[in-house]
Amino acid sequence: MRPIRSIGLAVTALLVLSACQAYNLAESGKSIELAKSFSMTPARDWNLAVNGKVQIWTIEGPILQRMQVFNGIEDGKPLVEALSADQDKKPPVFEASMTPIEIRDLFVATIARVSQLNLETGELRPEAVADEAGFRFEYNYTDKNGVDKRGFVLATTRNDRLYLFDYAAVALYYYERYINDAEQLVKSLSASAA
Amino acid sequence: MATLAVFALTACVQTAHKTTGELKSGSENRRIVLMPVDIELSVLNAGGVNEPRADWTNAGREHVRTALAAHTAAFEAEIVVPDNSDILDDLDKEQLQIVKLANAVGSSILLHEYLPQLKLPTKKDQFDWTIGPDAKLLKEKYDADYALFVFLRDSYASSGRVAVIIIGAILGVGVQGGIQAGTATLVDLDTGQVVWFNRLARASGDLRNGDAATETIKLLLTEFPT
Amino acid sequence: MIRSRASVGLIASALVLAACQTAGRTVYEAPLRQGELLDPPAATEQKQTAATTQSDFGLVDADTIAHDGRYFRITDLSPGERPSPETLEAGLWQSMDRVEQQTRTSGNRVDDTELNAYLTEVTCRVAGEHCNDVRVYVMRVPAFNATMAPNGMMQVWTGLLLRTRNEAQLAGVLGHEVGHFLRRHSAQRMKNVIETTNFLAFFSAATGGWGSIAGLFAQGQLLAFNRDHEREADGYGLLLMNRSGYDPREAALTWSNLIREHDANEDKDERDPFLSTHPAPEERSKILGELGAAVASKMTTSEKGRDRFLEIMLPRRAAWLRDELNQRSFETSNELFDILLEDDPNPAEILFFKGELHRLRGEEGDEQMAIDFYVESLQAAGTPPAELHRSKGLVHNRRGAHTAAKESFEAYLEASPNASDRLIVEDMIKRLATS
Ligand SMILES: [Zn+2]
Repeated sequence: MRPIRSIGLAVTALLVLSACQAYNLAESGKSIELAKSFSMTPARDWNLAVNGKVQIWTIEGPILQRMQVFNGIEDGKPLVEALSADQDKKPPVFEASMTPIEIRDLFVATIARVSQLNLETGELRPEAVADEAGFRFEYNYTDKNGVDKRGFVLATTRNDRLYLFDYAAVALYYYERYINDAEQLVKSLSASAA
Repeated sequence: MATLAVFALTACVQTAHKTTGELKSGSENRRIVLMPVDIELSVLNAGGVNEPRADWTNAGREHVRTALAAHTAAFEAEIVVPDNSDILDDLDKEQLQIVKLANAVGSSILLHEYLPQLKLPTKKDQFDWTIGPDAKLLKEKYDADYALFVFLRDSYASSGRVAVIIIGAILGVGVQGGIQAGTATLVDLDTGQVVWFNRLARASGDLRNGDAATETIKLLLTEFPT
Repeated sequence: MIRSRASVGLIASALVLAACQTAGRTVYEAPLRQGELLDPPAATEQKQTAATTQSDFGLVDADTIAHDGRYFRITDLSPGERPSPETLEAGLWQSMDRVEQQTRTSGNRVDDTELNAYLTEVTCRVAGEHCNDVRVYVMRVPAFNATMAPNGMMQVWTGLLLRTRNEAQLAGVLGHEVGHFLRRHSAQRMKNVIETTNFLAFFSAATGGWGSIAGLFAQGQLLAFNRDHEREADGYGLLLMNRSGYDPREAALTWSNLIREHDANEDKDERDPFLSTHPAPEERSKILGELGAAVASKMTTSEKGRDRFLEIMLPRRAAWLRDELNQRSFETSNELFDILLEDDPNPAEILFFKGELHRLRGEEGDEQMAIDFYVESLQAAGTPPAELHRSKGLVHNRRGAHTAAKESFEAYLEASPNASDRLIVEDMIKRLATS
């Protein structure tokens, strides 16, 4: 039964999610603060919606492509706050002491719980995020409607908080089309003075 | 039903979107391939449950094809209906991804162009949606210049539902009746650009009936490039 | 899956599929209610007049099974039959044909030729002459469930494949689903939902709003109707097991294992009060057990097909075990792992995942238990997954046991030199060496 309603539900979820927070213009060249730890400066105009600790950056709308920023998730908290409301199952939570492997697994488990999607992850490797030790991995999956999607995750922990940048897009055409813009966003990260 | 809720929210906006008023005139005979029409006609029962009707849906699909062909014939564009038009199974993996991407683009247009609260500020007033250059694969498959994607839902209040509406009206309670909703997306298969898009959302119309279907298609194809 | 707090509209759409249950929590907690859903078939009617009404129990003839004066008989749908276009049923079929198209390419579908071929084979054996009417899709969802759509689209979830222990148990579930199809339960449910909601609409229109008591009552009716279907499908499951030569006693075992899992959950009492007033799967297991034994006693041969089943499932199981842990339902998962361990040919794998459970739970004492299970796994029969040493290293690392962590990570890279996380593990080894 689930797969069947999911098409409609995805739209509903999107509506519910977006009803409360409209997209605002994130202007080219203007820095945006991330929980006082980093700032990010886009080199082109993006649309930005903020929902609690999660930011959604998009150019063509989140169905086609988006950068999801988990902005300073605290120790002991799930990536998606709404998961805490589930009384039946504990949410997978972030811990400040987690290694990259554990954060990758946390991300995959969170997506499985929130969207019932199974991500296939690629190579996990170290990569600095604004001079902080961080890591990156690529992933792909097929969504409920059968659309192939591709993505990458770049993440780091700073001051015991998790900063995770998750770019995903339709694999056909859209991933390549905006990958440079997505890379530019994460390369523009700079650490704010502590 | 959730999808129809989106339509209901967009009901106040009326215009079609387009990038051009004219179809390409490269070849004498402009060919528009009609991708499998996603259509369902249903009875809205008194209690609000939508009951799909296969016989009406089959008739509706035929009426839509006929009306589309007649509509575009007026400006010398030919609607091509592929064999097995209900079956996407004869597309290979990549072609199928293109069709699925087109649906995703259609949903995005509906959400971001028609729902004021989901407007994308960077889009300003430009209508620049695309499914990308791989659209060419569909051009080769169907030997067509354009692809038209049509989605239609049409529900009719049962007599019981009508009674509930009347009782509700007497008591001042609004009760939803049948609804006709749909989208149509025209894609240029050389570039992948969506050159025209429209959606329909109203509480009237009847796709079970040939003449009424012609009226629906005329409305759905408002400002369709000629 | 169907909760009384859901709206009637949602229930209605949900009911289009004859969904059985999720993890033993909702519909399968249904009581085996006494009802007169199915009339005794003509053949057995003669029996009744000739002899008794109550003495029929178990297998009455090759196509009929009886319990408490209720008869389950393979009737209704002829092979290859499609409902005629003007019917409610045809509308449902057509809707589901579209959904099936979607299912075929859905990301949750397990696109594994060998696995699908195996499931199709077992389905065909169970469905007999209806083999071509039913199409099976494996969906990667970590819960015990299978669904049957009116058009013959059947979904089997990986959480079910993880829990069934042999081909007979699988056949029992598939037979149950085929029963839903043969008895056209979806159409019956849809009809019932329409009638019930129609009544409700007049009631609420007349009272100027949704009468909550009436709504609750109606939902209760709908659930009861479903439960009758579940019971009927259970009967069909046994019947088809009998017909296809599977040991019908296995059907009840699936249930007793699910009950154990369910009981392991500390929060089990928070279920819907509306549902909790009814008997739980215990009764269902009991009746399936009695009926299964009665049917089995009349069978000359019956098979379990354990080796064949496990040969297909075991190589695919690690991903499903991982999905299970991603649910973070640690109590039930632990019980599941214990059940599997009782007769598993690859205990090393299960023991590894028990270790993973403790590593992920991270409560008091879990770190040591995780290490203990990893060690036990290495000593047990079978093969633990390659990432065991990595997990061990992660726990050591968390406890600040740097040397042990380093050694485990090194062992991991030695065992799987092409690991996709090699660079990060090397990085961690370097850090551990300097700390
Ligand atoms: Zn069932």
